[in-house]
Amino acid sequence: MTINVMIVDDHVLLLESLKNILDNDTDIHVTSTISDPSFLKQKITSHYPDIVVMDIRIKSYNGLELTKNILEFMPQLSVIILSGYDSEEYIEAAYRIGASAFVSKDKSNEILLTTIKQVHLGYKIFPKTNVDRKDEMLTPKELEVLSLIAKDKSNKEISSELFVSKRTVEHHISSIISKLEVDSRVGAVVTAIKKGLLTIN
Amino acid sequence: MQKKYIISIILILIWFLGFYMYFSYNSLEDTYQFHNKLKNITIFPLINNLLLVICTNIYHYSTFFLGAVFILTGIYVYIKKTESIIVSNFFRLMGVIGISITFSKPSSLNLFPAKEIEIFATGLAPYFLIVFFEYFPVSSKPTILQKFKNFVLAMGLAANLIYYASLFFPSIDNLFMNIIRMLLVINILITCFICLNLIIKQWKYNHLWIKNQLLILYSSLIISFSPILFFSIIPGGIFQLPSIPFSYSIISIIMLPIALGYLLTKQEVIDLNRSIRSNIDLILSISLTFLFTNIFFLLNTTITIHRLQLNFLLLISFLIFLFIYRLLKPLKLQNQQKKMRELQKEKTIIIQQLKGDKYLFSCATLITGLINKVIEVNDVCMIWKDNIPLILYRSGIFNEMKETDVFIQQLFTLNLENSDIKIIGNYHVLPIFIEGKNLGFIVIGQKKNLTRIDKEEMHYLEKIQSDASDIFFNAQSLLSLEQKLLLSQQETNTADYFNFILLKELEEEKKRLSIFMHDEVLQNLLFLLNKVNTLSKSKIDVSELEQSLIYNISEVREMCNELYPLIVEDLGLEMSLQAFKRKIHTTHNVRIISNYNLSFKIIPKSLAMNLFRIIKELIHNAIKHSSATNITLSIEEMNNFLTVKVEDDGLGFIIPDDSSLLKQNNMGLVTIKRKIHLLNGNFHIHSELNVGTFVMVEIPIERSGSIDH
Repeated sequence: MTINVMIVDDHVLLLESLKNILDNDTDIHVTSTISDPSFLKQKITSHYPDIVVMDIRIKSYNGLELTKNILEFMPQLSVIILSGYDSEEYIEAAYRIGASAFVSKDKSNEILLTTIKQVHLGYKIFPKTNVDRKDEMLTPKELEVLSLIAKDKSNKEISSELFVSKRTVEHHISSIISKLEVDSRVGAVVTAIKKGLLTIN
Repeated sequence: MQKKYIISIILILIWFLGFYMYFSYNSLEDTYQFHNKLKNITIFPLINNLLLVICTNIYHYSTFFLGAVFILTGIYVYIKKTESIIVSNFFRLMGVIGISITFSKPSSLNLFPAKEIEIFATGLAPYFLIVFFEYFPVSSKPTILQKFKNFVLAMGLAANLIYYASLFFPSIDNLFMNIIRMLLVINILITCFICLNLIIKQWKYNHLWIKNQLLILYSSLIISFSPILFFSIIPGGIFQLPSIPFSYSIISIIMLPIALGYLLTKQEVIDLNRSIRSNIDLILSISLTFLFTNIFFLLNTTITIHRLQLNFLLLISFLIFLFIYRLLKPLKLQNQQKKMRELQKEKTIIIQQLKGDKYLFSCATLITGLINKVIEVNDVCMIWKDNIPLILYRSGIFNEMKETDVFIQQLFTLNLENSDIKIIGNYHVLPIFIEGKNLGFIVIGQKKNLTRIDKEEMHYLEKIQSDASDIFFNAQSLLSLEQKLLLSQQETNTADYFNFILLKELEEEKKRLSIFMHDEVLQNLLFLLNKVNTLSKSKIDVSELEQSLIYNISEVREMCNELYPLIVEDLGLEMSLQAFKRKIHTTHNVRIISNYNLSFKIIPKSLAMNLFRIIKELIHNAIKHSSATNITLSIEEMNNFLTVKVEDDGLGFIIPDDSSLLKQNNMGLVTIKRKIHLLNGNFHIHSELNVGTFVMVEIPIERSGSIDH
């Protein structure tokens, strides 16, 4: 079984390295790499890939719109959105237009490889968003962050107190918010107290 | 002919039909006791008869008058603002109510087709009322309203159907009529309840200027309906006491269409409180007069005029007084105005003469005129030596004799210590001092009658000298002011244009930088991260390198977003705002409640980008400056206008003007205003200390290409 893959990305170095990595896998064959999507449809009809790996922004093109166009004209094709952003809204938008998977560019190449294989098997792979995290437990780290929020600390203060980056703190908070099914820091604290996750001294 | 005129004429014709039906049928027979009483009073037969005629006419025709007011107000507003949705709804509403009121009397006499028309109009009126309040004072369409709207329409149509069905069963006609009456009354009650509920809710959730409109609406409702309630329904209907017939009390309803029409045609808000306050003396004196005369009449038992009649008379005389007073007021003002006009004329003449760059020269001519009015002289010369020595005016000997040139040359270099009039040779020299500096001279030669200048004339000359100093001083400052004005105007124009270009350029620059960082720096970093990932499979420890890369990637992403939020171009305004909201929720202790009502309108990308930035800045302001805990954001599209409202419950602040904002280096609000101005939009801000801040931005969707990129 060989999976024919086409990569669309305007960053030539990244394109080449992706091609090498994918080609190293015996199951995958990269049929073509495209850095200018002007003739995307013709290229697809001539190469017949099973899967298209599409960057979300290609110069002046919008990867999401390109995907929509391709899928309208070849609905059986699977498209994996590769994105420099991992904002929830991008994931949602990718899901809505009918892409088969969403992979953030800062994830390791293995994830892309497994995603390609799973998509070929017919799965849809999207990073977890708010909606499907609600029953998860809070991790100890997240509980720690939550207790600091309850003490009215800003993200900056929390990051210096826990020796992690601001970005990590934000990540923790957004996962707390989605796990507790609330929509803000304040709501998280209130819900946590109600659920007995936090006690006030 | 335009559609609006045709519809208006049809409406008027329908009104006329109702009027004519009643007029030709009516025998003006009187059933109301009050009129019979009036007939019996013999004290003032003339006034009494007049009163009788007026009252009988009001009694019979008040509904037609009222109907006409409704229809005409509707037509007036409609013709003035045909294109507005709310006005066309208002027009329909006024039309059906007007027709329904007009035909109530002919219908009670069973004239054909009055009943048909009345039932039709009354059936439709509740529906149009709800439709109207959907848009007034602001557009609000709760879903429950949609249901009620259809229900009310169905009820109205059902009443019509039942009426036509009743024509086939003449035997039980009465039963049918009762059902129809019930249906219509219930329908109207339901509608009134819903609409009242709606406007009371509007009061709760809206802002000062809408509240002011609502205040006018409420007071017009109260004025309209309280006479019916207090003079007719409550005494007559509930207590079975003698009451004033509806025909009289109903007249006050004219307030309602007039107030609504006013609100719709004049968008600016009238300050009800202030207009009452400015007329308080009049209102107070009238009501006190009423009070005292009534007390007087109560105590004095010898007077037998009916009290109601008395008050009516008083009211009429007040109205006549006010009318005549208004009419004659100009007489009093006329004298004043005449004088003012003369002064104005003088002023314009002087200003006209002062205009242009020859201020000093025309001043000199004016002063010569002044001198000649006092003493008739042949030879006058005026010299100015501020920067370049100038001869402002010369006549007589100074014009004809070359010898005088030498003298003038001497004067150019002469500097006097004080402003005393000097006699040099044959000439009187009047030095002109401005701010302590000797800037010029007036030289006077011989008088026309060749006599000497006497003491009194000398005195006049001194006066002229000081006046001339004043005039020259003013002329000079005027000149310099105008030059400064011109200069600053030019500067402002260039600055405005420069600002515009700068804003555009700044936006371009940000975009370039952002795309560069995103497409080059970020991709390179990601590529490096990929490489490092592959390396990590070997034995070398690269975790530190990896962490640093991940950190840099997130920093660059953030910066890109800050500079030029590409997400707006990729996913549109709504999704971007959602992402922004989520981000704020993780970083600040604040709740943002958002409402989008964009009805699938496609917003141009450049506008979306600008709006996103504006909203972002407004929300940041609310968090940063007012420590708000709840922020409400709503975006609505209506008639190609986007309305953005941002409201917070923070500390509030006293809104400073632009220049002081700039001085505080607080560019945010000024930039927002500037941007909205360039987008042809409007910006309202209202802030109350300890209550919160409300900002409303309105921007047209179509013509928003000013800062296009």
